[in-house]
Amino acid sequence: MLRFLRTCAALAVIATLGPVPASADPTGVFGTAVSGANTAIKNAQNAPSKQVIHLPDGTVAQVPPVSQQPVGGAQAVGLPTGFTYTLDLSVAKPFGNIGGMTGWLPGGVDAVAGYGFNPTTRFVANYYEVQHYPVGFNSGTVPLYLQGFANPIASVDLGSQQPQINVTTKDRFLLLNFEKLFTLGKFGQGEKQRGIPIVITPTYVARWSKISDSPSNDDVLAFQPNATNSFPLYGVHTRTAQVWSVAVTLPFLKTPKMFGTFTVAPSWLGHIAGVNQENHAQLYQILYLEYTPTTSTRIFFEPQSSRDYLPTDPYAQHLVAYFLGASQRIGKIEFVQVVLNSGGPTNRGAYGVNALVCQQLPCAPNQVVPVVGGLKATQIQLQFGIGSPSVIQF
Amino acid sequence: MRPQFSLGVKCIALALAASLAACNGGSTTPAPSPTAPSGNAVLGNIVGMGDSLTAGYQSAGFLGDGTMADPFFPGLNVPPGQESGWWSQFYMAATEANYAAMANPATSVLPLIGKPGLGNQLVPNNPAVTHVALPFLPLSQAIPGHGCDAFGKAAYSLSTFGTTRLNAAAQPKDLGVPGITLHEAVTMYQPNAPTCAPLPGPFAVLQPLLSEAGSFYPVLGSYAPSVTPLTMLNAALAAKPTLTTVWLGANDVLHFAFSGGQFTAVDTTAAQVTSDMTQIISSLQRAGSAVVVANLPNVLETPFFFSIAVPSNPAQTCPLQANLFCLLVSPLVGLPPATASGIVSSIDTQYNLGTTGYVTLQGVIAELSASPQFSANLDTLAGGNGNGSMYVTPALATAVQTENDTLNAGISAAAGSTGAALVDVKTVFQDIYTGNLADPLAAQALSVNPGKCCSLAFYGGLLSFDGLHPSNTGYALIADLFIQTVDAKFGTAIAPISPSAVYNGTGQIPFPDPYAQR
Repeated sequence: MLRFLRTCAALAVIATLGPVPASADPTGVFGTAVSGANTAIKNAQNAPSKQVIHLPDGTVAQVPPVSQQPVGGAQAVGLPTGFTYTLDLSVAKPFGNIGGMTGWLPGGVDAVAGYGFNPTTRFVANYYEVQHYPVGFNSGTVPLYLQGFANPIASVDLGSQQPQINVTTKDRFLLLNFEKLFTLGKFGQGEKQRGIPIVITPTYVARWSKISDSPSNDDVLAFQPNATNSFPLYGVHTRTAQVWSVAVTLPFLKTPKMFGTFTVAPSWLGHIAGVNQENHAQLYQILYLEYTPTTSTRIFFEPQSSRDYLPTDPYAQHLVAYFLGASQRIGKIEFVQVVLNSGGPTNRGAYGVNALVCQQLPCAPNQVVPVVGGLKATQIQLQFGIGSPSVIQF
Repeated sequence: MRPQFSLGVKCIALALAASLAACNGGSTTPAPSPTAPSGNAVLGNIVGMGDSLTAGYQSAGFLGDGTMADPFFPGLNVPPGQESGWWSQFYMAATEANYAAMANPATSVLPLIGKPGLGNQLVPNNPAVTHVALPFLPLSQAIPGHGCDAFGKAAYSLSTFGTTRLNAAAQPKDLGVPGITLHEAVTMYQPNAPTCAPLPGPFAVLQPLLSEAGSFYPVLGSYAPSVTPLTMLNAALAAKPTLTTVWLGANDVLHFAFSGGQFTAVDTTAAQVTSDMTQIISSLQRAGSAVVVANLPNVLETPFFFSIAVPSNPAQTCPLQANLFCLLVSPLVGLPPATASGIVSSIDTQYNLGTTGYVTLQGVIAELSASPQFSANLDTLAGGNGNGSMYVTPALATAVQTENDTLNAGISAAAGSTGAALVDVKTVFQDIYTGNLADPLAAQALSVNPGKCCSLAFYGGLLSFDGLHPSNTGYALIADLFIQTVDAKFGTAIAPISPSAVYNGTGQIPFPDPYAQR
């Protein structure tokens, strides 16, 4: 009766692929660098010991996510004081199995404004845009299910869909950080006496997104959590979330040219949405290594294990990502930066579109909904920016 | 005299094909039901979740209007099945509602389907040929296009389904959707086909398996838009039941069988079955409802499937079971035993049915309708491979039985872990199939009118003409089984139902069973 299921897969019902959401990003909510905390810790470590002694005991403050940009403040004792800012524009070039997408992803803007009340207390407002084009959304062959059927009824070559779906994604983050620098303990004697600077950063993150194929020009896209065991969801902001976090940044390496910190950040969703129905604390972990060969050049590597708990995620995604970048100060306030970053979830199976679910025969375009797995993306990003001298010095 | 089958009989196969699938069909922590009532209070608001069996589907049709004249039987109306279904009979016994109230659109808790009904009902044929030929004909033979005419198409839209209902505004308590599977009771939120009209391209082959699409809105549509997503489970919860009957899973087996084993519903493992059933039960219990679930009879023992093995003792087997040899030598066909054996052997050889295969009712009708008789190519008629729809090979039969057993294992496990009452339909039907008179209910069924009613032989009175859905008497037996289980579990005192009274038209249903011989 259903012989065609064996023989007609090649016929592949050409179900026009609707817009699909990206269910994770390679950087995570705290995916950008932990520069504020690093700045404070570095400054504290660089400062003469007697100045550091005057710092209050306790822990240090820094809020991830902060953009990976040249930061510094070598002359400062701790956190930059007074008003500081950075502003940059960026373009990104995606890599990987991204189907028919070619060219650059334009239009990233980052803006950071901070005010340091004193060397140990600072408030920072950050706005970031992260462009990416994830793999597996318009490439590869995926099974086509009919709602309620256990077995696929056909398969669809995503690459043959015309027009190609456009999942150019621009995630936007607004972060409000309250950074607090502390020192722990006192080690050494006399002029060499020092404490361990740490930064604690209570943070509020609001994120939202724009996906090119969203009919409402935002991140609202239809998706189905599971091919055979769920409903499609329409009208969900797939990449919108609010997160509360408390980040703790600790130093572990300090030489004249090397610097390293480790940040852990317990985080909670502001509220559940979509298919995420639980709000368990998630733990972000970020390692930061820096090499400064000259006073105007910095090379950094930042692996991280972060979490995404977006409305498309029935459970939090464990994201493993890395950033490899170099910053060059080219003027008093000007800088350029290049960053290669890549990442994707390790607990969400295949990336991109895993399957299509035909809600109703004969699979009219508006009745086909994708099942999306993890979002993996790799891109190189070029940034051109300006900033307060106190925060772009190395 | 050997009966000659008219061309019209050939239409029966089409009617059956359209109705075959119209039958009944993540781990969740079981939840206690601290607010579930007990005693007769549990009967305060009864809701039924299920498929065609709960819906009261009969003889390949879904009809609640009792004023539809039988075009083949002057003076007789087409029997409305909904009021005679087991759930209706159970509800009447539990609430003291009567048949008139169930048939009255103003008071009925059934989603009463207007005439000519959904599906393509097999209705009693002219009495002149009853008992000498198949005693029924499909309505489509008298109403061209019936099954997918304007009435049938209206069922596929929320804006038009009301024309199929006598009580479109009422929110029914019998939520049985013919054709629905267990998993679909949790996840189906709209028809999975937009129309009963032929689908384009290769999907056309799937259409016979999508009968639930044509009954979904007529049953659940009046719960929209307040219930979102519009699933059977959500509708049941919205009805705020004190007692919910849940009988699902038969379509999982039947869809698998009719597709030759190619189509599997989602519930293919006992764990998945348990998960889905537990989700249903726990959701209802958390909402304060007591729950009673039922397991499934062995579908291969229903008289839709005719065993190919020539019985060693026909006198013992033929009154109890659907068997091709028994049908051929019965008064319905009237062949000599030697001729019947030859035909059975020929069909057996042609389709490699061995001793454990089956010919389906569709296959039987195709063979009887062929000219000359028994020359049909069941593969060609089924589009190239009749395994599943026309006959069942031993391998497929084994797989179907495995799926049947898997569902029952999962249902039983879910009932056990949640504390829901379990109605053991399987055992009673098996005892009827084997003639086990030690089972009181089996004995009661077999003794209604010995030799004529009721057994699982074809036209044995327990099931209606389509071989899959019970007759009034068969539904009475099932309702009585539910009553016994509910009384035992929840301490109620529901009056029992007498299958004999229903057979004779002296019980809750005020007319004799039209699907049973007398």
